[in-house]
Amino acid sequence: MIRSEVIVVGAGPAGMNAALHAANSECEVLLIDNGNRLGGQYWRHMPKERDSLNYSLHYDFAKAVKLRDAVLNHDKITVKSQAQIWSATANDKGVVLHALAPRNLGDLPTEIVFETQHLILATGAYDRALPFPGWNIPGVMTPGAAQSLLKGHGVVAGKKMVIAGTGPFLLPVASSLVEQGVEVVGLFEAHSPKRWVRHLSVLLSNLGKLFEGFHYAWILNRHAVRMKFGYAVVEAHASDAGILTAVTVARIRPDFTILVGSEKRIECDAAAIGWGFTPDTSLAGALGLPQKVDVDGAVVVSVDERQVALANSEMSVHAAGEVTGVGGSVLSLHEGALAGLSCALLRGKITEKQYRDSTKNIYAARLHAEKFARVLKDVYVVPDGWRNWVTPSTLICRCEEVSCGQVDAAVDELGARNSRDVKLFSRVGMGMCQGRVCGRNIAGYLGTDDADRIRNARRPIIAPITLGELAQDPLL
Amino acid sequence: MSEKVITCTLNGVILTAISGQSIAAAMISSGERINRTTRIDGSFRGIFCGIGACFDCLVVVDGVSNQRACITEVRNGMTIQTQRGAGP
Repeated sequence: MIRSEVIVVGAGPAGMNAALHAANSECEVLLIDNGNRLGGQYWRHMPKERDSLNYSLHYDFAKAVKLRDAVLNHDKITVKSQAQIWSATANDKGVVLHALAPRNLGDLPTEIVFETQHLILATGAYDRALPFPGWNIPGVMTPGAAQSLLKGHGVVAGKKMVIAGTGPFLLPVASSLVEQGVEVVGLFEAHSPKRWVRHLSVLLSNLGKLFEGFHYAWILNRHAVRMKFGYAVVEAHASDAGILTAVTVARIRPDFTILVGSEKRIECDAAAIGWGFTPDTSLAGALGLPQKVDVDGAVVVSVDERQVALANSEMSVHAAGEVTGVGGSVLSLHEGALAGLSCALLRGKITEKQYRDSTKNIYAARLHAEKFARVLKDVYVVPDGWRNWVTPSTLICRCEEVSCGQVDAAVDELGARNSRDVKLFSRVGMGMCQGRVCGRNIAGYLGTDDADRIRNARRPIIAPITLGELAQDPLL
Repeated sequence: MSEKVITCTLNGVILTAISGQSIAAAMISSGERINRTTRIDGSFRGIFCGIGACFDCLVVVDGVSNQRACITEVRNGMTIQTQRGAGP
């Protein structure tokens, strides 16, 4: 059992900044992450010897290096990478986390148990994928997958690629791929840029973001890649060997229904398609933290203005970053800083006055970043019109291979009324990903309420564990 | 510092990768897109989320099935097999 004054889970922008702020206020911090290197998904990078590529693949890698090195060199911070937490429990006295360290050539992974009175959750988010016929064909992936292959491993996902979906994330993905020699044969944003018109003042008060957008546009323009607006990939096609050969794109209306007759086929060997992000609330659910449904329909951890999700006189759980609502790296950094300082305050390492003095500017900056995040959620909203892209044979649950037709049958013939009923009748969401990919889509497909979405996002076991691994648990 | 080359096998065939790369990245760069066939209809699956969330890229590593290729690092001498259904 490893005890630490403060434990931070997740080493992305929010988690690293939380660890740094708590440690700078003299807290002993343990930073746990399941990746190989600090940075999370946003600042995923390759080992130091490939730093020249790291710098060219990131817009703001210098910022990442500065924060990473500050964390790594801090004598109050211990980093535990490659630890996959599979179980977490909270009680009145604190939090216990069970993690598995990686398997070594056939050996069982080693289990490590961590304990703390003050936990900061910064578990981030993953891409949201929407179902369409052929989305299970090898070669179809999320933009995050294409990014992680490139930024984390220096590998391009294909030679001829289509990038599609919605949101600003499509721009860095497409730009970094063209710069690495990929032929981007199509870049399709589902929404019209006109949606920005009523938010121009917010856009102009975020010139840094605007400049970053121009930076990507300049790269894409240099490679003669033109973004087309109001289109979506609505079907993927496989070769006889079962791998991707083409996608069909179609014009879609603002509600995401297809304009029939607008379909056209584009040959490609990989397609990266994403619809924003889904916060990873697995740990939050296991710990019983309060959760709510955000304006974008995502289940998020509910926190107060100090990023506290749960607290009593003995313990606290804070949450920061995408897990409290998708908002990007800048917002995550501010939230992380506030969570770290709040922990220091609760530990008595700083006074209430010191907390107020050091957080005043961060509160203002967080508010500013939150405004921008709300605008992004409005501009790049994902309406339920995608439900008319699917056919009865289209899979909605990839793990258990459950089709939309089977979900329809669970509703129409067996009387299912919510996500749980459909799960019990059709096995939807019962596979290894535990509904991480399909859960939000099932709720959207059924049109269920917030309570159903929150209930359906719960997964008490955070990562699969074998009975052999479980038998080694020191607490059993 | 130079990049270290790793040698392992994929379905019995030599696969080379750069130290630190994931199995999924090594497979993609060798041109292999199929990681497994599914349990129910036997269809092909490859890398999908790329960050360990979706469990679609499962492969058999050193005889142990259901390993996520996207978050498992290649090691020298590792034997990797594409997974058929639930296991090896």
